[in-house]
Amino acid sequence: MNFKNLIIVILTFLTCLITVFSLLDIPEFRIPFEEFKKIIEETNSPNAVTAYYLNYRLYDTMFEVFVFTLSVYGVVFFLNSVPSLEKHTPFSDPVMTFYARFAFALSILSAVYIAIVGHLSPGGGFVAGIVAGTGMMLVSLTKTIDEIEKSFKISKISNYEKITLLVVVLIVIFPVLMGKKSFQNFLPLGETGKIFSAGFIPLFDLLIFLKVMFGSWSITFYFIKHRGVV
Amino acid sequence: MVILVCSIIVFFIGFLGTVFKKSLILKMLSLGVMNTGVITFFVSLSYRSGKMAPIIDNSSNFVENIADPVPQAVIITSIVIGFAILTFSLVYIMLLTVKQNTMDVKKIEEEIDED
Amino acid sequence: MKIDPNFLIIFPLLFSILVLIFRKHSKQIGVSSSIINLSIVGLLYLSETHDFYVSNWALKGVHLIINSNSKLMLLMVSVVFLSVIVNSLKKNYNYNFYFFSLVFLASVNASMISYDLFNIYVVIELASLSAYLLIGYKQKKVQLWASLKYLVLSSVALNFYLLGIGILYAYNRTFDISNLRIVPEISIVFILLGLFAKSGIFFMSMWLPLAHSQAETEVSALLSGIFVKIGAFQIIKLLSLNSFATARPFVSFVAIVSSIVGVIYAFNEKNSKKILAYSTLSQMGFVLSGISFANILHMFNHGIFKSLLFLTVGDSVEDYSKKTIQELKEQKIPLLRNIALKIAVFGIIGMPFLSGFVSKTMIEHEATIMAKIGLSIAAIGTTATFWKFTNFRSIKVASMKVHEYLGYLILTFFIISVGISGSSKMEFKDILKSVALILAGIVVYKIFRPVKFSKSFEKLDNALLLYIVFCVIGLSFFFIF
Repeated sequence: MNFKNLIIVILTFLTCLITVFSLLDIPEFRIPFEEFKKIIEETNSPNAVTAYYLNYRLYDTMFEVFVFTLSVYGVVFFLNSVPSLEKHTPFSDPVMTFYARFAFALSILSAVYIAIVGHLSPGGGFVAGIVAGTGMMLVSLTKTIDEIEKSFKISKISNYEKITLLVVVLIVIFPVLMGKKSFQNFLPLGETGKIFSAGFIPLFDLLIFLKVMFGSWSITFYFIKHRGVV
Repeated sequence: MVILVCSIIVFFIGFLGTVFKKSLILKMLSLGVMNTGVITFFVSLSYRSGKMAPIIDNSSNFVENIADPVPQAVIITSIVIGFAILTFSLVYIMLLTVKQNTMDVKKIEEEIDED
Repeated sequence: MKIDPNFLIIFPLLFSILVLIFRKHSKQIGVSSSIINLSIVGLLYLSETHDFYVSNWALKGVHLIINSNSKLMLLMVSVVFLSVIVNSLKKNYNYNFYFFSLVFLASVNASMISYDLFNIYVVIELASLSAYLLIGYKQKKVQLWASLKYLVLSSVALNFYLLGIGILYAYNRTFDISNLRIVPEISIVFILLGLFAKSGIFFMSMWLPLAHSQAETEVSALLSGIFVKIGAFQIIKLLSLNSFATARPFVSFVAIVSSIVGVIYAFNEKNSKKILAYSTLSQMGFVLSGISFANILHMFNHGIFKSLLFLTVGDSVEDYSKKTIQELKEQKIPLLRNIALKIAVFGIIGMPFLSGFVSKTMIEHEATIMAKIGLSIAAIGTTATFWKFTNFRSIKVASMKVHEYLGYLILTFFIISVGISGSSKMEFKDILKSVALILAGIVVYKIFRPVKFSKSFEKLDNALLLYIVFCVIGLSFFFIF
């Protein structure tokens, strides 16, 4: 180890030590019971994390959706200039094929469930989208590239993706037409604990689910097309 | 508290990785380690105020000692950003290696400087 | 007329989706959205201060404030964006460019009005993501490497920022800037590290020279004109709080060092776009040397004339595909472009009755003695650097299209109008002083010849090493004072 590396290690260790010591006097904190109760009553969502994520901080979440979109379009834009592989060797093992498709059905089912009950129990749009995207990736591993491309074109994934994005922005701006401020809930709150309750939270969960599912599938498809399976 | 300290240590280990690793892929993985350190830090922050999940069950009983919902809600955004950066950087590294035939940072920098 | 300030963010995002849907009309959509953005900013500029939470119930949502400082920044962003988009019409960019740049516009607008630490992190990340894509747009080898280097450096720095705001949250239980009470030193250092890396300070953002010089012309103008201002504006926003007051001398020290070192590197550089990039490092030092209105005004002015410089020089570099300033001088450039270039150069060196003069004089009035000396050296260096750009020869072009020069014209208008309106408050002494500085700069330009400097700071590993050195220096600063 030369001199420069030794200095880096020492300095990093020093900073780490100071950071740890400055954390020792963090004040204790309990969530006031009243505040928790008020969050639940105001948003009518039993899951306070979702309420915070999709209601009080919807502003951040909208940017997050755009971060994801930008990464999808970036991948598509850059990979389009790379020549696609000529020879693809998908997994042709019958056991693998069967279980991949079985797991696909299972993952889609659980993803939809996670997405629509995101405001009642742990879950939410992003997690559900990743689950569904993983299922789609499993199926894509067992098919040839032409089959995937065909289903990619028939299902018009990229159109739906854009429409989902458009709907997200339009919902955000819609309250302005009703005389309210943007980013505010305009749907009825409903009865606590039901699926159709808590205003627009389930709607946003569903939209983010679709967006992430389409997006992660496009990423997987382009990676497989240009770099092959393994 | 232990988790809090451990997350800080993981963060700085990740930082050392980004400095010392020569390969671009390993640098990106170290970046992921750093990000994980921060995420663990935030999650353990919300764990400090209580150990119960901030969700009420169907019988509408409000639970005591709930975890702080704020840090765990905001950190989802950071996870997504980490994912986006990872996909991006993989594509970039791929394009660079197609043109340069190397993933070593020093070799790439030497070749770029000659231009 | 009452207007919802969130339109600043929603309209560019809406238009960015429209670009994806109507791909063939992306240029028209780009121009119309930048005009709409400018008109929204104009309406907000005339209305009073906005101070509100996006969702204001039991838990407070994101805190947004539009005060006079952020109005000025929003105006700068919209003007620079409009002229960049107009300038991009004569080139063959496809819809991806307009999509990325509209998302970039939305996130920059959001960062200027945000008063929430976590929201600032998110929007800076979104702006950086679009910047990575824009830098690597033409997919040349150098561009890809510049973008990747920037990606690594900026992600490491922003992870430090995130850790810093996590520590702040542990003490204050809020991300709202206006509600911070206890601010530990370690979190100040981490937050400043993250923001310095974004704001173009020498030794901290060493990604900048490569990225700004290798990107496409329009992208360079966006990066140097708008993007580095995001971090700098957040720093000024934070430092104006009382709880961050202890960090003010440290920041102004770092800034003045950056302004001097940056100008030394700029003077000794041969590549014309790299000269502009190093000069950005130096000018951001001017911007962060204090926290008063003068600094905000200099940020405004720098955004205008630096993007004009990048547009004119970049267009000439593209036209003749000559990179160094020596080769470029042998060519003849169109007359109107040459005039715009000269006005931008005179603006940046602080010629009286132009915009740079106003803000530089105002900064010097409020600086301490040591800062005054440092900034004067940097100002002399700026003149010495930019005097090379004044003796281009021009050629008369017979056929002239309006949209080729409209972008220059908009920016030139702002340089002259700010200069004339601000100069009326200046005394005769200030004019003499700035003329003396310019003459000293010309003398330096005549006497000294460029030498080659070591650029090992710009290597990726060394730039990362500088981060941790900054942490230790910052912490020791807080322990000593």
